[in-house]
Amino acid sequence: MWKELLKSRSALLGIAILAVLAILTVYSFVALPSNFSLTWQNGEAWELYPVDAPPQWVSLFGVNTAATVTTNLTGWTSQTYSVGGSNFSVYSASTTIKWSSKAFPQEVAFVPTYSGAPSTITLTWTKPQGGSITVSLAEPASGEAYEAQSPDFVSGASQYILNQTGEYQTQLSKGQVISTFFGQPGPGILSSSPAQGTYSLSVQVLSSGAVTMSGSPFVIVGTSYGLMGTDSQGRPIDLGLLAGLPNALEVGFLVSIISVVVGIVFGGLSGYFGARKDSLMQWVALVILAMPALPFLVVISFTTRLSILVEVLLIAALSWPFYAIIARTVALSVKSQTFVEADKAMGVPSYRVFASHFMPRLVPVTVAYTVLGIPGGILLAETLSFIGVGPVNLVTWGGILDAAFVSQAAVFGFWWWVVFPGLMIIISALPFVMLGFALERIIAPRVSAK
Amino acid sequence: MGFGRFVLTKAVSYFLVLMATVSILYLATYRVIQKVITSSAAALGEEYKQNLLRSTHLSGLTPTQVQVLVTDFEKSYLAQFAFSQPLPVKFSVQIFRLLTLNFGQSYVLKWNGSQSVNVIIAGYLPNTILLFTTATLILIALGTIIGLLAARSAGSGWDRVVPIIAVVHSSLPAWWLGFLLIAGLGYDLNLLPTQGLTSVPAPTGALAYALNVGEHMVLPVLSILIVGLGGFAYVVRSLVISTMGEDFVLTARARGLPESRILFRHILRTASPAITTQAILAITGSFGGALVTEIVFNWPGIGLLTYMAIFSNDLPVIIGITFVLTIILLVGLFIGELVYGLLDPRIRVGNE
Amino acid sequence: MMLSVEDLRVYFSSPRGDVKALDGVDLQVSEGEVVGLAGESGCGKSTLSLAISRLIYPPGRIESGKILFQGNDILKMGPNEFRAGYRWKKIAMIFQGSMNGFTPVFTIGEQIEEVLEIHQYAGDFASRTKDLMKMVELDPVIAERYPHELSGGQKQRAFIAMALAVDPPFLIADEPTTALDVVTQVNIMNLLKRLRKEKGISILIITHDLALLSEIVDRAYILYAGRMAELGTAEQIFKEPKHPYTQGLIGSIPTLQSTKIEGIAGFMPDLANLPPGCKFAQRCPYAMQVCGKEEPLLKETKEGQRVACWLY
Repeated sequence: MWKELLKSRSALLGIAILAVLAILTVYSFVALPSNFSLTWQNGEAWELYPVDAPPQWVSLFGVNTAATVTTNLTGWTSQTYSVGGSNFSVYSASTTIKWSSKAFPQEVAFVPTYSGAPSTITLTWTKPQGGSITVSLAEPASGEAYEAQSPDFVSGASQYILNQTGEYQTQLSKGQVISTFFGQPGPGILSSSPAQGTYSLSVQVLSSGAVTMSGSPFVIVGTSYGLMGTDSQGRPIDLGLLAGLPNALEVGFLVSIISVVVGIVFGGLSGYFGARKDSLMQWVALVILAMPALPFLVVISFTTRLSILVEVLLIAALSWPFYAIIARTVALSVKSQTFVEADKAMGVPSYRVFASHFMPRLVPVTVAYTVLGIPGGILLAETLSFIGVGPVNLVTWGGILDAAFVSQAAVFGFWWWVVFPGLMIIISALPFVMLGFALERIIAPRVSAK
Repeated sequence: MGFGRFVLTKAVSYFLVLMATVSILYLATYRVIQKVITSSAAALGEEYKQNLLRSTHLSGLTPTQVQVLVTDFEKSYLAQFAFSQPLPVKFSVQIFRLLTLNFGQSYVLKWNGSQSVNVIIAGYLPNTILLFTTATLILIALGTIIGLLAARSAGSGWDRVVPIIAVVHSSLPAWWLGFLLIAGLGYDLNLLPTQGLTSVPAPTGALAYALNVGEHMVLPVLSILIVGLGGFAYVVRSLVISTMGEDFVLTARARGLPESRILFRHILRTASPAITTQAILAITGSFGGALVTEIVFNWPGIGLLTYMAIFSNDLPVIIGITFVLTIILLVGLFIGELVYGLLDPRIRVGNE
Repeated sequence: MMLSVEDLRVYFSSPRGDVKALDGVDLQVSEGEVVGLAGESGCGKSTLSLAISRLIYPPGRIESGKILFQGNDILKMGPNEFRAGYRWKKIAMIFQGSMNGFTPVFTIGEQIEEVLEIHQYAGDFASRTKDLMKMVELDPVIAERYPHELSGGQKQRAFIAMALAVDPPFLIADEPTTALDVVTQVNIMNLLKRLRKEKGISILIITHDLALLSEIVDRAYILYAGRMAELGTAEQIFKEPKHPYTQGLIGSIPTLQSTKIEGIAGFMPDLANLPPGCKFAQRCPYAMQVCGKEEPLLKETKEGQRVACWLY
C-alpha cells in the first residue's frame, strides 16, 4: 500500500503539505507561550500593534503603507558623575532606524524597561536632514508604553514645531505628533509627507541610584504588519493562525479517528451479522443521522462549557453513521463471497471468520476514511467557532473569522483578515483530502475485487 | 412487495426513527429544556404578578393573596409540562409537546410582534427552504451533467479536473467562500447585492419583488454551489463509471445504440437510484454549511435565526429549531427513499 | 462468404507488457453455416466475438488483421457507419452475460422496441415484439416485465428474441447456455437449431462446452492461447481429433459410458509472456524437441481439416 501511495503525485504533495503543517505545529508550541490564548483575548497585550493593518508585503505591490518597526535599545553604556557630593549615573544607548515608507505610521511608542529608579529618560530623535526632537519622561514607569499622545511626547513635538514654524502649539493630536516626528523639516512640517532616510534615536537615562536597563523597545506602529496583517484589535493574524493550528488538527484527528472506528466497527458488524440485527443496527444509524448537527451542538453548548474533548466527542457521536453505511456495504460484499460461506459451513468460529475475512477489508477502508474524515472534523469545528459556540478560551480560525464577520471586515476591505484564516482551513484540510483520495483509489479495487 | 407496501413500511420505519431521534434529542437536551420551562414559568409568573398588583385597587387583593395566586399560576404552568410528575410521565408529556411543535414563547426574538417560537420559526423557515431548495436543485442538475460528462471522458485531462474540484469541495467552507464573494463581487465590483432577502425598501409589485429576491439569492446560492458541486459531480462520476462496467452496457453497444443514448438513457437511469442516495447524503451534509452561509449573507432564514438566538441566549428558539430541523430532515430523507423506490423497478415492482 | 477473419491480432496492454489475446487468427463462416469456436476460458474466444462486433475497448486494441463481413472490412468503417449499419442489423450477439444483458430499469418490451426504433424497423413495434416473443416460445406478457422478474432461461430466450428483432443474417452466440440448468441448455440449443433451419441464419457459437457444440455445428475451430490449434468439420473434430489439445478437450467431455473424466494437466501459458515454439508443448503428452523451438503452422491433414501440430 505504501509503495503505491508514494507513486501517486497527489499523495506526495499531500505528505509534503502535511510535513509543513507538522513543522508549523511544533513551531507553534515552541514560539507561543502556553497561555497564549489568554493573551489573545486580552486587548491590552496588542496595544502597540497597528489595527486593521494589511500585511507588510503589500507595499511591494505599490500600496502606500508604513511598515511596523520595533527597535530594542540595547548596548547600554553608563557613566557616573559626582556633582555636589551626590553621585548620579547616565546610561545611554542609541540606534538608527531606516524609514522608506511614503506613509506615516499609526503610532510611535517607547516602552522603558528597567529595574531601579531613574529620575528622567530623555529620547533624542534625529531626522535624516538633521534637527532633533527631544522627549523627556520624568520618573517613568517601567514597562509602561509612552505613546505619541502622552504629554511628554506632545511637549517635545510642540518645541520642535516652535523651532520650525515659530508658532507654539500645545494641543497636538496624535497625527500631528507623528507628523512632527516623521515630516519634512520646515514651516510646513504639519502638512508635509514623511521624510525618508535614516533616523537616529538616542536615549539617556539619568538616575541617582543604580539602574539596570533591559531591551527597551521603541515601536513605530506602521500601517502594515508582518506576514498577514492585523485585526481591529491589532492582533497579528499570523500569530492567531499559528495558535489555532494545533487545535484544528487535534479536533480533526480525534473526531475522525473516533467516528471512523466506531462507524466501521458498527457497520462492519451490522453487515457481518445480517438479517434482523443488521436492520436494527441500520435503523439506529439512521436515527443518529437524522439529528441536525449544528443546532444540536448549539443547544448542548448552552449547558456544557465546551472543551476540545467534549466538542470532539459530540461531533464524533453525530458523524459515525456515515462510516457505518460505508463499512456495511463492504462487509456485505465480503459476506456474499463463497469462501466466507464455506468457512461458516465448515464451522470456523465466527470471530475468526470476522478476523480473517472481514478485518483485512475493513482495515484499509478505516485508514482511508480516517484520513478523509479529518477535513470534515476541522471544517465542522471551525464552523462552530464561527457561529460562536466553539470551545471557550481557545484561539480558533473560525473564531478569528467570526471576529472578522462581526467587524464587517469584508465590507471594509480588510481582506487579509478574511482570506488567510480561510486559506489556513483549506491548507490544513487539503493534504488529508489528497492523501485520502489516493488511498481510496488504491483500496477501491481491493474492496471491489471479487 | 408492491410499491404501496414499500411506501407503508418506509413510512412506519421513518415514524419510528422520528420518535427515537426526538427522544434522544430530548434526553440530550433535557437539562436545557427544564431550565427553559422553569425560567418561562418564573417570567410568566412575574408578568402575572405585575398585572395583579396593578389592579389590586380594583380587586382588593392583599400582597399575600397575590403571592398565593402567582404561585398557583406558576404551578399550573409547570403542570402543563408534567414538571413534578414521575419521570416517565414527564418524559412522555414533554416529548409529545415537542412532537406537536409546542415550543412555547421566546425570550427575546420576535416575528411580526409575536414571541411564539412556532410563529418565529414559521417566519424564517420559508426563506431557508427557498434558498436551499434552489441551490440543491441546481447542484443536482449540474453535478449530474458534469459527472456524466467526466465519466464519459474518463482518464482524459477534463476528467482529471473533477477530482481536483472534489478536493476543493472537501476542504472549503461555504460560508467562507461567501465572505470572499461579498468582498469581491459585492463590494469591489458592486455587481450584486450581498445582504438580506430584498433591497430596503423592497420593491412593490410581484414580479419586481421576485426579481429582487432572485438577485439577492445569486451570491448565497453560488457559494453553496461552488463548494458542493465538485463533490457531487465526483460521486456521480464514480457511480457512472462503475455502472459503465456492467454487462448491459456492452450489450447495449452491441445492439447498435448510439453512445449518447446509452449514457443518458441506460446508464443514467440505472445509476439514478444510487445517485439519489448520494444526493440525499450530500444534501444532509451540506445543510449545516448552508445554514451558516445564511449568516454571512444576512439571509433571514433558520441559520440567521440560530445565530441571533445564540447572541441573545434565546434557548426556546434554539430548541425549537433543533426539533423542527430534525423533522424536516427526516421528511426529506423519507421523500428521498420514495424517489429511490420510484426510480428502481427492483423495488417498485418487487421480486417475484 | 458471410464472415472471414484474417490474421487477426488483438492485444491488451498491461503493466507486464502486451497480453496477446489473439495472435494471428483466421476464421470463416459461410452463409447459413453454424460454426463452433471452442477452447478453455482465457484462450481468446470471447475476445474474438467482441472483435467481430468491434467492441474492443482500451486497454485492448486490434493490432492488425482484417474482418471481412460479406466482403467488406468492418475494421475500416467509420464508427457510426458500423454502428448504424452493422451492429444488430447484420451482426447480432447473444452474450455470455445475457443474463445481465438487459438494462435493469427498462422492461423487456421497451428494450426490444428501442432496438426496433434505432434500426428503423418498418412495421408495427408492438406486434413485432409479440411475434418475437412467440418465436422464442415466451408468453408475450413477459415483454411487460422487468429483467429481474424473469428466470435465467426466460432472460436468455428474451435476449435471443431481441437479437432476432431486425432479422440479422449473422448471429454470434457467446456461451449462450453457460449458467443455465441442463434442461434449459438443451431448450436453448434446440431453439438455435430451429432458427437456423427456419431463417437460414449463420451462427458462430462460442463455448468451452464441446458436448454442446457437437450437437449443432457444421464445422468447429479449436482455439488455444490466442491461436487456432485445429479446425474441421464436426465429424472430423469430434470423431477424429488430430491435435493433442483437441483430443484432451474431447477426453474431458463426461459421457454416460465413462465415469472417469480425463482432463488436461497444467495451465495455459501467460499470454503476456509466451514461450517459443508450440504454446501447448508444456502440457502435451507427445511433446518433441522441435515443439519447444518452432511454432507449428496449420497444416491440412484431410480435406477441410487443418491442424497446427508437429505430429502431422
